[in-house]
Amino acid sequence: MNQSEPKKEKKTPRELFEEIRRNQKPSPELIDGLKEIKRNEEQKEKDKQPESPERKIARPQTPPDLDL
Amino acid sequence: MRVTLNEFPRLIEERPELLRGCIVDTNAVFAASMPLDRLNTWAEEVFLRFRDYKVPVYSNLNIRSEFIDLHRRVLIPEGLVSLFDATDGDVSLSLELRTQLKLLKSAKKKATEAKKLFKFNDQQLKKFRRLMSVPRLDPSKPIVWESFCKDYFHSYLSRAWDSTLETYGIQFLGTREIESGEHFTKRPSWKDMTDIVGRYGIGSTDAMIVNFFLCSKFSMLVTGDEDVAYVIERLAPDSRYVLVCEDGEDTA
Repeated sequence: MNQSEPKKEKKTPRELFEEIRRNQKPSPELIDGLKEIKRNEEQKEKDKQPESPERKIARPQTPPDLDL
Repeated sequence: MRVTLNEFPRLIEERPELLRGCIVDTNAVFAASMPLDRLNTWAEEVFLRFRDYKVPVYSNLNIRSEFIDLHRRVLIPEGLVSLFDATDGDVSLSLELRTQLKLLKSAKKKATEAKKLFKFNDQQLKKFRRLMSVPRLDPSKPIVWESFCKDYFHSYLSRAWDSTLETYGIQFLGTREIESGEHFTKRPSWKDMTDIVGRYGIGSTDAMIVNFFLCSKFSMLVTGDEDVAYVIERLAPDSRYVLVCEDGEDTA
């Protein structure tokens, strides 16, 4: 039996526009991408922040140059 | 000569050559297809009236291209505001994107209150594309901007032109129709188009449509664009008609 493809319903531009407005929602892949952009932004902010004094103390000191 | 839709029934009795057909400018086709456009009702009425009088309406490649571009400039900000509303209060938006979307929503609201259709210019469009085109950690995942386009306007854009043509019975005039000479007295040329831009300082797309119309055998063009109406009046004050909206305000 031949199964023909279901015919796309003909819509006026107004119906099309209303349809798109009704059905507009972000897909999971878009949400995932937006979350990644946010994480990138947060990471950049963290990278920009100056080091805390505690971390500076904890860091091993390099020996001063010896002036011989 | 400018005419309005109210004058059309009288005019068509006096000038039966108008039954040959008319050319519709982009903003009229766009307005008929876009419920948010200020001229939407007027444009719909124009097409229905033409159908009643069996006046064929024609468009061309330039009009199609401009139509797609206008939809892009309207649907992208529409979609972005819709995305903002769908994610507002959510943690998934970066601070920069959230701020820009908030500003966009406010600008669009102001335009709506002023009864204007909000459209992006190229700079605005590029700004949002840049904000949403950050490379992904996993390169197999889609760029966020492309996901947005897919979710919010691709499917509409790919169907809007055909739906508009079909709904309003708009016919297409391509190279073959121009060559056949059935509806044209001469081929539209770049030289003539440039001459129109040079003489009147209008945009090249508008000049192409004016030139296309003046090379045709049609006596009427429908437009909501003041530049187009002005130049046709200057170039062919007696022999051609420009059907404009009653309130005369420019659309584009």
